[in-house]
Amino acid sequence: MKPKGSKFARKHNIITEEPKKKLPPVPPEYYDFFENQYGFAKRFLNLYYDEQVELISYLYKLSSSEDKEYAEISSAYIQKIHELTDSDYEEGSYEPVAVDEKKLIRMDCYGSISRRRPDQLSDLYRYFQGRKEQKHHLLRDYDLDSSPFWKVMAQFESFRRIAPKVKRALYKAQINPDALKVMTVNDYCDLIYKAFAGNTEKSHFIKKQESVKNRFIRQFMKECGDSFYRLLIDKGIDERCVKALCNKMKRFGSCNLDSLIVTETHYTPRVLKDLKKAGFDTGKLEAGMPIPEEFINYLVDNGQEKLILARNEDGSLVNPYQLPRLEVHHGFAVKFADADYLAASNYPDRLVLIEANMHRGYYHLFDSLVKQNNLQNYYSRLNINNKYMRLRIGFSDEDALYGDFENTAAFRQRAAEDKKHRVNYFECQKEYDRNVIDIMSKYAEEFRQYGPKKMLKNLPKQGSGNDVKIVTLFGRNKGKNRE
Amino acid sequence: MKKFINSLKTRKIFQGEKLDSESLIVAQKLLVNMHLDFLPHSYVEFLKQYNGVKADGAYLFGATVDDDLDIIDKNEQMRRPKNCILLGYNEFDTLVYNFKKKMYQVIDREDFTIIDEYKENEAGYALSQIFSV
Repeated sequence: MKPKGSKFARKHNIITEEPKKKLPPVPPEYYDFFENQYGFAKRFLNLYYDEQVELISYLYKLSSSEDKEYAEISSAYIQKIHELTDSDYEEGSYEPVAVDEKKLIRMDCYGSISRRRPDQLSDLYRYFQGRKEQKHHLLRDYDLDSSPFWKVMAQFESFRRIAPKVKRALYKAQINPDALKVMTVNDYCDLIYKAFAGNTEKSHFIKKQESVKNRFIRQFMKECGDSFYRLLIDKGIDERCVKALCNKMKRFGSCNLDSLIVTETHYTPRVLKDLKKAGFDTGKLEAGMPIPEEFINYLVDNGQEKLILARNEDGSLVNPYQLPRLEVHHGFAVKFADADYLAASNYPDRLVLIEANMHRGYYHLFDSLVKQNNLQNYYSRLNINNKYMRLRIGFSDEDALYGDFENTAAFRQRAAEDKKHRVNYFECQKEYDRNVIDIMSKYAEEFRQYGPKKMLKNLPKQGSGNDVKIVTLFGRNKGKNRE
Repeated sequence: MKKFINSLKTRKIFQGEKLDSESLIVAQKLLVNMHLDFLPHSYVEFLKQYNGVKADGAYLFGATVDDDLDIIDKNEQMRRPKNCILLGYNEFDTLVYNFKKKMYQVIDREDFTIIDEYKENEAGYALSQIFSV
C-alpha cells in the first residue's frame, strides 16, 4: 500500500493519520440528524413515535453536555420540537404550595385517601380519640367551620360534598367537638379513611367514576369523542379496540388499557355460535350485522364478555395495547396553584390527556427546580401554549385535540362556589396555632393527669407565659413544606 | 405489604413476567453499576409476588422486559433525586427508595418535594400511595 503524503512531508513528519470523524454520542440511526441540520422538523416527524421519544432523550442529554457543538445543535432541535407541540420552556421563581395542599390536590383529583400511619396523626387528635367523654355530644355540636384545617380542605368541592358524612363520623365516634379546632389535614384523612374504607388500602370518599379525573375523561369524550375516534382510526388502530376504549371512557371515565375488554363490533359466526350456546335467541341474527352497544354493555356488565371477545383470524384475542396509553397531565403546574386558588388545579380546563411515553419522556423531561429556601424557588417547566389543548398523542398537529371546557354553566357555578371557599393556608395555620394554645390551656389539668408523656413536656409551666414555645414544640405536620 | 398485595389480587392490572433469580441479580448489579444501590428487601419481596405492575397511569417497576416497567430503563431515562432508586410513579408523584436514608419517599414528580416518607418496614403504605389511585 502506498504511504500517505509526499516524501518530504513524511520526512518532516507532518503527515499524520487523517483525523477521525467525531461521531455524536447517539445510536447510528440518528447520526444523520447531526450531519445534516436542514429540514429537522420534517425528518423528525418521519420517525416512528418511539424513536421520536428516544431521540428527544438523547437531545436533552446532549443539550447540557460539555461539547458545545452538539449542545448547541441539540438545544436548537429541542426548540424546534417545542414549536411542533406548541410548547414553551419557561423558567422563573415561585412560592411553593404547602405539602398539605399538595396532598389535597391529589385527593381531590382521585377522590381517594390512603391509610395514615398512627405517627402521622397529631397528639391532640389521638388524645381526643381515646378520651372518654362525660356528656353525649349532638350532631349540631360539630361545627366544621371552627376547624382551620377543614377550611383548607373545604376549598375543594370533593370535600365539601362529604362534609355531612365527616360530621356524622365525628358524631358517631363521639369525639370532643373541641378536637375540630386542632385537627390537622392528616387527622381528617384518618377520619375519612376510616369512615369510607372497605378492606382496601385506599378509600374512595368520592365514587371512583365521580372523581375529578374520571369526570374530566367523560367530559372529554362528550366534547371531543368523535374527533378522538377518528384520530385513532386514522392511525390505523383496529376499530374494535378504538370502539372499546371510547365506550369505556364515555361510560366510566377510565382509559385504563389493562382492564379494557375489546369486543367484536359485528356478529361473527363464532360469536353467534357462542351466544346460541349460552341460550340467547340468535334466530334473526346474521354474521356481519352490527352488535348494538347496549347489548355489548349488557354482556360486559353481567360478566358474559367472553361470548363476544374480539378475535384475530387465527382465533387469538385482539391486543388492546395498540391503543395509546393515556395519562392525565396537569397543563398548569400544580405548584403554582397558590397564585390563583387551590381548587383550580384540577379544573377540567387545566387537564390534558397525554400519551404515557410522551408524558414521561417529553412533558416532564424539562422539569427542574432549584430550591433557594422554603419560600422562594426557581423552576423550569414545559408549558403548553394553547390552553384549549385537551389531548396529545404525538408530535404532529394532527395528534392534538382541542376543547373549551370552561364555557359551561356547571363549570362557572363550581368556580364561583370554590372562590367563596378560598382561604389562605398561612392564616389557617396561625389560627390552628392559636387554637392549640387555647386547647392546651383548657385541658391542661387533664393532660397533666392522663395525657401522654410527650404532651406533658409541652405543657406550659404555671406562670411561665411562654406560649410561643408551646406551639413550636407541639406543632407538627402543619408547616409549609414540612411534614 | 400483605394488605397491599392482597388488594392487587382484586384489580385488573398488567404485571411483568414472573421474577426469576437471574433477572433479579442482573437488575441489582446494573443498579450498583449506575452508582445506585441494591433494591430494599421489602421491595424484592413485592417483586417476588408482582414483578412490576401498571394500571390507570400508575406504575411500579420490576426486573422485567416490559418497556414501561423495566426498572433499569426507567432509572436511566427518568429524572430522580440524588441517592434514590426510582421504583414507580403515578400522574402526580414518583416513588423512590432513598438508600442513604434507608427510606421510601413519595416525591412530587415536578419539583421533587417529599410528600411522604416511609421506613423499610412500611413499604405497603408507600407502594399503595403510588399505585392505589
